Amino acid sequence: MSQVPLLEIRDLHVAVDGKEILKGVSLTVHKGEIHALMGRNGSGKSTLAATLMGHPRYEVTRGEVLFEGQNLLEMEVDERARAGIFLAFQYPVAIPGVSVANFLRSALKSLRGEELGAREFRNALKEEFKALHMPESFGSRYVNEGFSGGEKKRLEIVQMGMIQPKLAILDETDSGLDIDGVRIVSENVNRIAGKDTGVLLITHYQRILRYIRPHFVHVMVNGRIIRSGDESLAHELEQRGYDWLLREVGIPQEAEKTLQEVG
Amino acid sequence: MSNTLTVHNPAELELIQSISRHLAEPEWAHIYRKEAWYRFLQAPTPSRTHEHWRRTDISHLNLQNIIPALPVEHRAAPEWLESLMAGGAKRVGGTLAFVDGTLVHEHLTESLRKRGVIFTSWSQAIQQHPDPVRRAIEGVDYDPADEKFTAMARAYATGGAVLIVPRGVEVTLPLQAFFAAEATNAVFPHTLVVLEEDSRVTLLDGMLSPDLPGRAFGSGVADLVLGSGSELTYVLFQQWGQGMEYFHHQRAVLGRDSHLTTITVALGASLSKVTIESVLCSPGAVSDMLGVVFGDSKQHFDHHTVQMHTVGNTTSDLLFKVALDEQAYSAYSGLIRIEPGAQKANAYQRNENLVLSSTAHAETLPNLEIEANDVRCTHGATVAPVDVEQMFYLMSRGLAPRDAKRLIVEGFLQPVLDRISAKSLREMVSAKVDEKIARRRF
Repeated sequence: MSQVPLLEIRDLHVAVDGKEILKGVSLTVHKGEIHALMGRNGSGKSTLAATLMGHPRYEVTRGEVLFEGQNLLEMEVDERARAGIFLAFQYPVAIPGVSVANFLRSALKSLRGEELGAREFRNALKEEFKALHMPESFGSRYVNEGFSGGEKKRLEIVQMGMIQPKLAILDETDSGLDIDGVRIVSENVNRIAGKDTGVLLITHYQRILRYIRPHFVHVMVNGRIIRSGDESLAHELEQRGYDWLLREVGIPQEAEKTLQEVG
Repeated sequence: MSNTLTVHNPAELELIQSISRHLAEPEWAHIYRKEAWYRFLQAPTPSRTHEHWRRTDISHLNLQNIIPALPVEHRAAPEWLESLMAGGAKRVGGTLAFVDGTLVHEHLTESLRKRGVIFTSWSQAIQQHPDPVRRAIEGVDYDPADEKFTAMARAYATGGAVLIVPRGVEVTLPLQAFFAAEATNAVFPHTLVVLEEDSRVTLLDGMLSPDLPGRAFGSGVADLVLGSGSELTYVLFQQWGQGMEYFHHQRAVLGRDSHLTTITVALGASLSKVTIESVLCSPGAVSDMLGVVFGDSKQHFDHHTVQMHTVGNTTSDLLFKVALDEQAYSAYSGLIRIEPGAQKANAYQRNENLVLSSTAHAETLPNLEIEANDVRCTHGATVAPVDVEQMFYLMSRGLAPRDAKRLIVEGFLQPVLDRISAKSLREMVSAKVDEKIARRRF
């Protein structure tokens, strides 16, 4: 493809509290592509997601990230959002006292630079709730406060639908959801993403990939992408686990286990 | 009564007499005023060596030199007050407004009047309804720690609101009383609420002024008497302008099975020191105390709450939320006291402080005095800056840091404001809080 990639990560190194977590990650996502990033807990997947969104705790020590050709790492968190990046959080935080509707109205105003009509906003929000099988009354509830794990995950996708990002990073959106939840969330991600949105889908289960079918699958181990392939790589992982791959790329299992304990 | 006290300056007694004369007060009301005035003279001016006054320095005040303005005739409400009153007028059952101690507006719906509700100025109440007022003030108790100020307020009050709700009457529309300062440098708001058996009402006391050119002083009292089975929601909304130094003591006495919800909203004044006290002296009484403080610039707030359980089978709950920016300071101290024999009392207390700048400072000082052994009592307090994860979450949705912070502060305070069940009052108070938050640059 000759067009400027949506997201281009080059040799990214990231440290948290002085400890290096990402040790040279490179990844390119074009418009409309779905990339699945798989790996065990502690492999660095969520660190990559948080770094792309600009969490202050994550320090980039080397490498670069371009978003539509622009230096992403120089942008503040809110600038990244306005540029078109959306992160569906693995653990969405509660914002006590702030209703979902009030929060989203403020967010859309910031993202678009203008206030959305009250009616237009209400209708759009109503549609998204309906699509995610959530009662409309969630609009007047405080953001994520008292929500079940599944409700939080669905609300993330409601937000994605309202925001219509260029790049959606879904950080383990499938965890905490039951079978129906995974299906509903997946159908909506597909609908919202359509043909143009780039998706970086982070998961350690294969089940969500039955509904959101990736063009590319990457496996992350110990802060590096050790293998990339197409959809068939995910199937292979499901059938054979991770160990064969670790052996194949020459990472001793023992090292992997120790790392898991640490991170 | 301290009649033996020598009056050093007869001109001062003349002042008390002239207030009484001016308001054509009957003898008993004049005696009440005079007793208060003697007490004011006699009580020592508190200093920081006293625990209750440790966090508020008033050594610059010369209380003896402060005198009240006498009411004037044909005074009109200033425009800003008019528009505030007009805002919720249709959804309010009655309004009183005082400017610099002069009554400028009085309204009570015909239907409430017919049902015997009294909502009028102090001077009219003592003329027209002397018995209930007299009964209520006979029970007035002077808290020793605040006596200098409460006595001063009772001695010098010229405007004052009296609300008496007769037995069994449920007032559905809220009532509001505004005490405004404009040209005077001393205000003395005074509120008396008497709820007879099984009655029900919501009252907001609004303390308001524009920013004041120099220094101004205020001392107010609110006496709330809840008869058995009655329900009172009382909102103290304080938005004095810059320059005001304000002292306030609110005391509620709760009868059997009565329920008080008191919501203190403090936004204004350069310095304020407020005591909010609930005395649960009959079984079944329930007191819910809520508070919101939002301070900026160099504002100084000192709030003290008292949950006093004198008998058992009583319940009190408290949630006090404080947000501070710039160089604002807040001290919150809360006493839960359960007296000997007050078994099966439940008391809860929670104070949360959100500190928005490195130069703002919040102190929290819970204090429990439990002298019964079969009680449930918990308390908790937090002092914390804005949560990094909340900021990250909001900013990840495109909100600029200042907008994210604003939402967090609004959200932090909102749960308390939501407890004002009367919609018109809730909207008015929330709008004032949001206005102040919106002015912040963060």
